Amino acid sequence: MGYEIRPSYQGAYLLADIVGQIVLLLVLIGAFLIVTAIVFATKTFARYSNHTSLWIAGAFCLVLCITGSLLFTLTQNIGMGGIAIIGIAVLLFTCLAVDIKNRDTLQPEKPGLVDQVLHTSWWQSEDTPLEKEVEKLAA
Amino acid sequence: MNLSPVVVGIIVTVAGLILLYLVARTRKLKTFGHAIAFTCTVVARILVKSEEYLNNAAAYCKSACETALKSINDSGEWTMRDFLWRLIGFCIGLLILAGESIQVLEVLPSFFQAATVSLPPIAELSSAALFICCSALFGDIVLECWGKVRGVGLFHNMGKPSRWIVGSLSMLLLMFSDVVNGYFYIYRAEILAHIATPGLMVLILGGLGVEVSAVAPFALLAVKEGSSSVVALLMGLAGKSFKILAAFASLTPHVLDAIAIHLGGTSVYQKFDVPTLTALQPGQTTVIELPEHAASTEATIDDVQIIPVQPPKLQEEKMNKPDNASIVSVGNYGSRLYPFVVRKIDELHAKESILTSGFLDLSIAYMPTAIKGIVDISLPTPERIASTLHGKNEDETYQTALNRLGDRLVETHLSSRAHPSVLIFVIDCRLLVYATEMLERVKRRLPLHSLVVCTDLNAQNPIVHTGMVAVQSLHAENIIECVFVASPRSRFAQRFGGDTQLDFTAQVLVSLILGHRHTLSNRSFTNILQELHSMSPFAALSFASEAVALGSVSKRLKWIPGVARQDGSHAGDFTDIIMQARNAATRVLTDPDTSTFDAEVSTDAACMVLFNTPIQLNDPRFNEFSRDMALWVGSNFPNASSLTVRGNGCSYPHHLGGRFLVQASCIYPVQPASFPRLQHAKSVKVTPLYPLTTTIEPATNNGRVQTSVSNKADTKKPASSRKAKAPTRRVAVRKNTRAK
Repeated sequence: MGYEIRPSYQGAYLLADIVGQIVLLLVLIGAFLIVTAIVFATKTFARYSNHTSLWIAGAFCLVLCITGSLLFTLTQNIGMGGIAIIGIAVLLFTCLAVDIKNRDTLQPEKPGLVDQVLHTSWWQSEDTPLEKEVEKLAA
Repeated sequence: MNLSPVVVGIIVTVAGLILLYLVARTRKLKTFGHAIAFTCTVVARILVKSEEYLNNAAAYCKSACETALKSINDSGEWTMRDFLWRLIGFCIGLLILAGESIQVLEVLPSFFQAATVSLPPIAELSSAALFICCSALFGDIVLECWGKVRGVGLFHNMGKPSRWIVGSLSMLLLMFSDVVNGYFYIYRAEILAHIATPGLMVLILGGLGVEVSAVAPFALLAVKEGSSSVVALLMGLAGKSFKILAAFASLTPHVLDAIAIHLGGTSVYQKFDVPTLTALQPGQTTVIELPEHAASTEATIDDVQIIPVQPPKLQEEKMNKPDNASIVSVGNYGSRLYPFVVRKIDELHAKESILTSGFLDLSIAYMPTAIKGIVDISLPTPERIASTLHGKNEDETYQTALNRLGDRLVETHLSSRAHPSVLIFVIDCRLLVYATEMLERVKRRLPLHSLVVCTDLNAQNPIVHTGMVAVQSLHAENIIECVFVASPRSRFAQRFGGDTQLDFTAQVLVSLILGHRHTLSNRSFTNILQELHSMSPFAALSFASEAVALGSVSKRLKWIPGVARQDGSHAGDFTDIIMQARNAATRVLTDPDTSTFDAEVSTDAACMVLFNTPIQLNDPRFNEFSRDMALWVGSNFPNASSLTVRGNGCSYPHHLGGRFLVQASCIYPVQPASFPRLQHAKSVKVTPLYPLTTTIEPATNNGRVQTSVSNKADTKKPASSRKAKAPTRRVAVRKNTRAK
């Protein structure tokens, strides 16, 4: 019985597969977070549109985003994007503070991150009953 | 990019041809023209708004300029001479103060080695002007004190002694300045002649120092007095600049306006915001100018014309709401409950379920009735005036206005006839008798809708009793499903106040509208009314609320400083919510103090318990709560059924602690025997003017889904003594005595 010696690439394939899955997972989580943040900010603005602090934070975020873009264009320094991120963070924190200060319902018990990303609607509304969400997802 | 004139000419020609083609094309295709006009409007909107803002800025600058000019002198009427004089005084004072400061800055390096100051060449001008400006200011003061200066001066209200003192002092200083200046010119001549004069420099600089120190207060006064003229000058220049910019900004919108008008018939300058018919009244909120808000737009009373008001263009409005409920508030009770209902609609997110809202109270001159997202069917001022013209007294006016209100309600709901819902009429007990005709007409035209009346029995007089008998007849004829009665002197109101009772009532009404949308296990409001209809013409409410433990902070919010301390960041303790809800339910079913009417919950008749829980709909605990409470209510109170609606419970006036509450409300039937004087009221003689023959369809066609329970009850129940007498019903629409 003769044996043929071949170079083993199985380890490399496995590693690439794992890295690819991790990247995919990170992209998925990133997309989830972005969509959640946008939906949250939009809903907060729609619901508490008469709160001045929200509009001030929105204007601040816009100014910082524009400033960051201009500085990035002029300096080609990726660090300038941090200015825009600061603006977005300020906006999201303001939205969170306004929502928590004025909400008339308790915080929901949400499932884990994996379930939220994979098994629930990313833009589910507080006004949509869970059973209807389940029906939609089942359909 | 350099374009040759030929290319520019070709581009212009092609653009012109395209424009001509568009004009010709849009004559045939109106939609296309409207689309172009819309695009022009959107594009021009930025410049139109910019022009508006620039004009506003120019107006503001002009106003500020005029204000500054008025402050130049005491009379408020400025002249150019005064203005220039102030301006010159400001310049001289500023040159003196700035020149001295600059000189000090230049000397500083000699005193402190580290302090090196480099000044621009223009700064030397003020230093040079220091010599002559001091003399000029002293001379001006002397002349002013002498009385040789016309118009405004540096000083106000100087008496003769003051003039002498200030004039003499200024004269001395002027002479001293002249001497210093003289020495300076001698020194300059010596320098030019290359003659060494070391002592002269000390004299000049020393004299200049004394001179500047002496003139500094006068210079500061000149700057202060002249600042208003400088502000006026700057504001005037800024205003003109804004005007010029606004003129430039208006060029493009004018071109787009011409295109939009010719192609789509609309102007880019049309207003999309608040109607400008009248100024906003105190307490009035601005509303978006939509057809549904047209009813609340108040016209000026002076030049009002009674014209037929067309209903909103309903055919153009999409009936995309999941429900088409309506809340109409009439009279004193309606106007008291209305603000609470509006707040609850907002808090419970019920706009999607309510199509129309109306308001009528002739005792209130104005009340903001528009709710954003809900069609306002309240009578506009012309129709209100027309009602007063048609009615001889308040009662007839109410009847005419109510009939018109009913017509507007029907017109709005006709398009949703296939999707019937509940029409709630919150009517003052004194006006019940005048609302019967309107209710009949509404039911006749919207037979599938369920009509429910809410009223409070705050008076005991023949009119109220007649009204109660009338609505009882309406119930017997299946026109209305039920009447929710409350008493302002109920035990609940006595303990917690009338406003608290209204708050809870509004919460229940809005929650009942929402109920079937929050969980599939909830019965619809229509279904609940059908059951109540089968039991009694009247129903009452009882309320109780309990605070719930806040529980732990949500994990994703724990790490945010400051946020974790807020009530809103807590997830609540589910066990405590359940226990408190059970406690509240027990109270509303057994405790007479929770009732809004002096009738206890019967252990024999069926009743409904409505829970308001502060758990979100997308929280799994909501369904768990609903199931648990349904099970508990069913097992402990067999005659009761439950509904669960998302929403924070109402708080009592003395409530302290967490802001999240669970509320239980019981809706239970009240037998007419609970109204002790109602039976006597039937003997009250009222003047029947004309009979209203009802064309009510058979009970099986009134739109209600006949359940076995309701059918059975209908056949058993003697609805009313009047029903047995005749199918037609006489309603007193005019009375001889007025309710006091």
